[in-house]
Amino acid sequence: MGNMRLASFLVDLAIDDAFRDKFDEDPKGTLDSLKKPLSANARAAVLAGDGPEIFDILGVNNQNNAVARRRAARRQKK
Amino acid sequence: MLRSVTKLRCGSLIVVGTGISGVAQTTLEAVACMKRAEKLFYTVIEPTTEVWIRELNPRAISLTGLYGDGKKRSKTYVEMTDHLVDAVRGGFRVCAAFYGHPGVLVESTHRAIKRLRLEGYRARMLPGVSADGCLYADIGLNPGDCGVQSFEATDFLLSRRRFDPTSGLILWQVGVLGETDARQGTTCRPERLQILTKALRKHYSANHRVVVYYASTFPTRPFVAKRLALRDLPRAVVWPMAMLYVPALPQRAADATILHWLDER
Repeated sequence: MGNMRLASFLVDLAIDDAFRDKFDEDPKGTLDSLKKPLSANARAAVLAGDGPEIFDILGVNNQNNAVARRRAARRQKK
Repeated sequence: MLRSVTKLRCGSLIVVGTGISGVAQTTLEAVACMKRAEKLFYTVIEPTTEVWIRELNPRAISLTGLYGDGKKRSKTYVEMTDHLVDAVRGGFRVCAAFYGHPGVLVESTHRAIKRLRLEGYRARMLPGVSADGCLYADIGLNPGDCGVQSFEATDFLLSRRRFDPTSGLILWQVGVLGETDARQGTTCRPERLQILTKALRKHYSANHRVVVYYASTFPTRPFVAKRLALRDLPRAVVWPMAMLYVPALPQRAADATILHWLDER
């Protein structure tokens, strides 16, 4: 039932602002703190989906830099 | 022989969409179809959606490999259609999942459904969340206010589409304006944006504000709505997945005859 966990996690991320902020600050820590952990594949996909590399796949290089910079700056502040 | 014919007639196709941001935008009926399919083909752009689909149905097969750098998109679409049609002819309950709405700017799904229906198979499409739906939500646009016209950007120029500038205008695939093949990491060529701008300038002022829009493809990533004057469009970086929204000009006065007619009723 790994798919249900992943789906549930992504829906939480989409609708729960506090959870999304938490993930935004510390993606790996948030994934580690899940009561029901995601499968290794799902975890890797979430980090890839959130990561800047996805912008290269989508061909959105300028957006890539802006979001990646903003996020890196916020994480550094912490 | 009889068994083989019966099997062929049993095949069916349901085409579903996985939305733009993936899992959270996929409808329950689409999920059920993907789960139950004997053969599931998919084309998605986002890694979590792919993992989720593969966990949902271990028989899932990606069609993304049919795209290739420099390969004509039309060739890829023909191959996709063939994959779907062949699987149904093989007697399987087939589901095809495409990102966004599976009928919006996806030629292969329409072609497959048409061909299969002609051959006597059951084939249908379920709606999905498409980029224009995201645009309405993200920039607060109500198409009921003054209408929205929607064209594929290359077709808009090629066919000199007529439209009403007092309604909103959506141009899809501006980032691949005039491109027949798929290449990663490219943006729209400035000279092509110049031609598009010239065509739009016949109807709008150089100062008219337009929106280069990019829907969010992952929950942690915000949508992008870059607002700029039409005159600046040729210098903008417009990536492949972007759409252009041109807001409506001021509204015309209401038609007095129609108003009178409405009052009478």
